[in-house]
Amino acid sequence: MVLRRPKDLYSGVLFLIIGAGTLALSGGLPFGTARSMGPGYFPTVLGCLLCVLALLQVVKSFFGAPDPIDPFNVATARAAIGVLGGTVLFGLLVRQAGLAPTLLITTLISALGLRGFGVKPAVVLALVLSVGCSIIFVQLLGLPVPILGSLFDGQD
Amino acid sequence: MDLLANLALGFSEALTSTNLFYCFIGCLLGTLIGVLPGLGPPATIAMLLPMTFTLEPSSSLIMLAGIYYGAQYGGSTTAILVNLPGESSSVVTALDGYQMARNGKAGLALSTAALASFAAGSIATLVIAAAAPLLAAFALEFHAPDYFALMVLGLIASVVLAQGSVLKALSMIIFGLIVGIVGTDVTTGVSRMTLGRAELIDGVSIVAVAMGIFGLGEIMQNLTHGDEGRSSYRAQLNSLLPSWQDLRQMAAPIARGTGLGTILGILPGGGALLSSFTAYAMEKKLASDPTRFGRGAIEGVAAPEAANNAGAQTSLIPLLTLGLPSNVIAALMAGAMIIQGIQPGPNVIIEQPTLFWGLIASMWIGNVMLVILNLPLIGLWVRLLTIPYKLLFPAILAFCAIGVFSLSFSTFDIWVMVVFGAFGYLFRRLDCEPAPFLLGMVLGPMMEENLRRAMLLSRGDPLVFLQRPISATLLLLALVAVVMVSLPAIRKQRDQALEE
Repeated sequence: MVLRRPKDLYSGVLFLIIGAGTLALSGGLPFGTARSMGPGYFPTVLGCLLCVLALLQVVKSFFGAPDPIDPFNVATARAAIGVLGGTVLFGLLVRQAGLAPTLLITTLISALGLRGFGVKPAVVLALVLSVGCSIIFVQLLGLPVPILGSLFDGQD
Repeated sequence: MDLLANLALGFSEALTSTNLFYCFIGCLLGTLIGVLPGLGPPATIAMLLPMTFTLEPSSSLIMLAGIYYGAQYGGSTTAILVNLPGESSSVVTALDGYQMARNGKAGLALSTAALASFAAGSIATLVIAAAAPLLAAFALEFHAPDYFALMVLGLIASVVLAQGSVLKALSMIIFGLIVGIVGTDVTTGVSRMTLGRAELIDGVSIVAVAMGIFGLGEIMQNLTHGDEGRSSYRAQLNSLLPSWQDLRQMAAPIARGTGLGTILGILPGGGALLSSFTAYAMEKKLASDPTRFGRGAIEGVAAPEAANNAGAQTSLIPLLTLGLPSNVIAALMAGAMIIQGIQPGPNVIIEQPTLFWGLIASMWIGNVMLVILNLPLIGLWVRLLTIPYKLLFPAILAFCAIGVFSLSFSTFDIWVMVVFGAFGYLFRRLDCEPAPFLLGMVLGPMMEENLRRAMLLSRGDPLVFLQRPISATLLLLALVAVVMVSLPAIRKQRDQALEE
């Protein structure tokens, strides 16, 4: 047995986890009958179907034409950390810190997503986005988010 | 005569200065975002959707339609000028359009795309106006089993059109259905799979999911694909106006593309993608010298652009008449309608004729605006294309975050976007196309409800799906489609057609 199609294996495992998770989460719900389906009927059927399809993919990954996966490397990790990390920080900060400081930090973090972005362009872009979005979204479109949040209240 | 009266009603609604203004803003913003490389119409619509929430129902739908056409046209511009199709349906346009641009005919290619889109859009609008009331009346014949069967057909059709593995596309659909039914069970009021979060009782926000998958997911994909996301615009823009001979050369392909697109667009799961591929293939077959294709043939731009626009428009027919979104764009439109308190379906045309006909009229006005807007502004779009992706992606990220946050000012929506952004990226790397997932997510609750109702009425007898002629026909079509894509010979042909 040689793993020929790693992409099929990984997607199979991923779908298997999702299918099993669905079954676990909806297992406690009343199943009902075919005539009068309970809230657990449809999710259980879907969960089972997904598991079957997932297993087929796992089996298939050992047969057929070889199809290698693009390696997960530094570039992929950078992109994921920059984009997802930047967005998470936005969610954590926007209420307390306000839009302008949040965007400043979010943009600097997202710039990490691309190798060789450079410090100077990142800082300039962060300033432009932070000021520009504050003006457009808060001042002009009336988005009810403070430009400077409660964190900065006592300081100036 | 009814048709004229209805259209008159529609135009009187769409031509108010407020609605005209929002239609214009929609087209402008849609084109502006759509031109940016790496952002297809779904991402554009998801990003701009929150802006329409505060408007009146008809203004918001009109603006949304404007955004859609703008995004589509913007995508074609990018495909022609820098060979970076933002979505699959403009892949075909890039084939000959980019070659025309390299031959120094960028202006002609752009104006051909604009004229083809406009002509096709005008005809498709008339078709919708004529066909929608008939279909809406027919829709009253539709019962629970038929709705269920139609949704099955639509989902299967989205598998047929997805590139790559059928197994993966089916899995994506089922995953979508599962995410779609998270929240309160309509029939019993029980919370399902909410992980104890109060925010999930109303279900997972489709806009947050779409922004995660199409916004964040695409950014990560572009970043790791190295130079692909960056602009490389070099072509010179010369005269935009086509000559008399060019017009004569493009007339027949436009007519054929429009006809094909109008019909294929109505099919569930069809829409812009299938139409443009088929139209291109047909022109190549009909041409006296097929070798010109791929080297800058004007027919290769005119026919797919016409088909693409006609198909995009008629793909809204199932949504407007049956309440069933047949592709991702229609799904997002359905989401917007529900947020506005309108349940899409046959009742819209009866209960809210002003809104319905206003939307149809604004489709045509949107097409006019695109032509007017794009001919003078093309220089601006070209300038936009010279911005490197490096400077664009942090801005796109910021817009996505602000957009999702403004949905309901809950940070929970941001977490949803992050989770599905990660999923979207992972799935792309594993060759799982995200479009069937989103369609499944929208159809999930409707599918379950109709399945339950059908089974309740038939007293638990699953044969009811085969006894009703409508549902039996639809299920048969779905079965044929599954068998066809599974057969190795046809599969190969499909993959070739989708790749070509």
